[in-house]
Amino acid sequence: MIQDITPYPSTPEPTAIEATPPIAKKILCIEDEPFIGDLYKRAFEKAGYSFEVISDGYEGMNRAKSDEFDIILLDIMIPQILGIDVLHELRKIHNLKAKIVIATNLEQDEETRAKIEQEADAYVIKAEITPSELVEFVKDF
Amino acid sequence: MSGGHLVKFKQLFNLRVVFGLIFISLVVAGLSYYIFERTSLEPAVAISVILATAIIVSVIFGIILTNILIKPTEYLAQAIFHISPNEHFVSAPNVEALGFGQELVGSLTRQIYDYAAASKPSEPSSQTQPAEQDTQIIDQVPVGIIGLDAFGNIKLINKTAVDGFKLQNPTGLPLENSLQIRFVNQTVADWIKEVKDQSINATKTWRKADISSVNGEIRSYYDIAAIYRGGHVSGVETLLAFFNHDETFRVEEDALNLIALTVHEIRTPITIVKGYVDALKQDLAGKLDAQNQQYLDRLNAASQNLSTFMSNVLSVIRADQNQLNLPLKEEAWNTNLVAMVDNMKERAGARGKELIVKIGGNLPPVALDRLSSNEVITNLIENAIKYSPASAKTIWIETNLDSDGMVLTTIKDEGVGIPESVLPNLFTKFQRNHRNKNSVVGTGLGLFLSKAIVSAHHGNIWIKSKEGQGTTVGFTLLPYSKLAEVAKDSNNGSEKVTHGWIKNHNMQRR
Repeated sequence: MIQDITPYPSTPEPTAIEATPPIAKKILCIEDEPFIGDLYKRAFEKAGYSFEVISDGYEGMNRAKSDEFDIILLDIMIPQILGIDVLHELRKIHNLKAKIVIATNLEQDEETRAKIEQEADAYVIKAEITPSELVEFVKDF
Repeated sequence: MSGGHLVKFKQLFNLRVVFGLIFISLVVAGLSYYIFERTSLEPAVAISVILATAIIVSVIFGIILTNILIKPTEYLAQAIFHISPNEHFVSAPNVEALGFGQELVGSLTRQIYDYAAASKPSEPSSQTQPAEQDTQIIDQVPVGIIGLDAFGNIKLINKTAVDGFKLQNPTGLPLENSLQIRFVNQTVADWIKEVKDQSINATKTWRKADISSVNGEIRSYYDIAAIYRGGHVSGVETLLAFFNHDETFRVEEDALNLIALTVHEIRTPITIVKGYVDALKQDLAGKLDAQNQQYLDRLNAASQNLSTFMSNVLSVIRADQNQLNLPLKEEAWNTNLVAMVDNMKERAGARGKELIVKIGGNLPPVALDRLSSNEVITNLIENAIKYSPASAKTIWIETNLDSDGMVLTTIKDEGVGIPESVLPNLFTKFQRNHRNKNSVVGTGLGLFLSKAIVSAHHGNIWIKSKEGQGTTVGFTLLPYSKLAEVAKDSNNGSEKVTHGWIKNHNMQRR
């Protein structure tokens, strides 16, 4: 059976982000899946952001500590170190001022969710949000 | 307990009535036979004689029956008057002398005397303390037992509970000072508050409560059984029994972790597919013909459906763990409902069904998570389609304000209906109407998840059905204006959106 399924909720019009390049904010994305990193880089750069992707947890954490970035996009399941520990290190130990957005596909247990709610600025399920929606999501940061 | 005795009493009573009626019938039949066969009376006279005899026999039987019935009541009244402080000249009833209903009356009389003893004012002496031998006995029980007084403070605790929860001198302190009990849909304190207002005796069980000691030293899973006995003479009003199920639940937890990991692995390619479709839609905007644009939309919709299914699987798990926490926003229900039903119209049409939506007036904005409420509507309409024969053409979807000020939505079909025996279990996981489960495809998760989602919206869901006469499913949503009342402290200042949350945003930001 062929259906004409209208996606629900509907995705925003693609032209919306291209028309609104924000101030050139710098984003660091700690993400080990190269295709996802590539998609995010493409969408954010198209929207006028400066975007850097690092796949290794430790390397990404140390890069974030340079305080050059406005927003850190942080995955939870990354090589070397868990994203939740990177979050704690950056937020509580290093007292990082940048906004930290947890972007993950891993379901969290109650304890981890509580930690994320306490220490992160935003949380997204990657499979539930397109790159352009993610750009829209963090545009007020 | 008197319940068994009551049943026995009823059985005996019914037996006597039946024998009585048989006896009257036999007497009347015998007499009729005798009059008609052996006498030469006129028919009118004969009938009069028979009727008169029937009346006399019935009256005699009625008097005997009334005497039998009234006696237990007399004995109970005597017991009540005997314990009454205003009646000094009534002696205690001799239940042993009672024939019929002796067991029931004996049991009830004992309860009357027990209550009387419990309500008598007693000296503030050792009587209000649990007897030492009782404590010794409950210390032997391999189940944690904690007794709370009228103020919710620990008055009684057995060795198993002290050792199991590693508590030090908990007596006299509120339960929550010693234990953190999570993943229960109603706290013990809230339950006690509720039953205090409504009843003298009550029981409740909580499954899979996650309990940790306040110092964090111990963390385990327990089932909890509670008995509330308002104003009990021992001073222990609430008795809690803790059954440790660590081993069972750890196995479940391992399985759930495996599912969570599987969902993660499936979500990664979904993210990539959705991402590249998103990129293609942007790059090819205006360059694609209508058909290719439709292909991309279908690809997007299919990956979204799979993603939603994955989220639902996890929602089921979270619902199991009492952790389904939805990002509720202020939304107009009428427009959302119409959009959701529109999405289903083609699917329904392909199976010869028409969806008719009727929207009532003056609906307030509701507290809604669009994604999960869409799942409820999809599930309920899918069920209505699946369980309707080809001859049933229409499914009605109606929404209006109910008498409690909640927004009520009903989905009504003309389908095969549901057997009465199955109805109470329909919202249970993997439960399906057994008569159709071989002919209709389904997971048995839809209604379970719908109930969990509606509950997380602070609403209720119900089913009315009769076999062969169709089914109506209804659920309520909370007006957004009432959300603050029922969900205070639940969002921690974060705005929840369908795919995540942003901290410190006004909840009403759109």
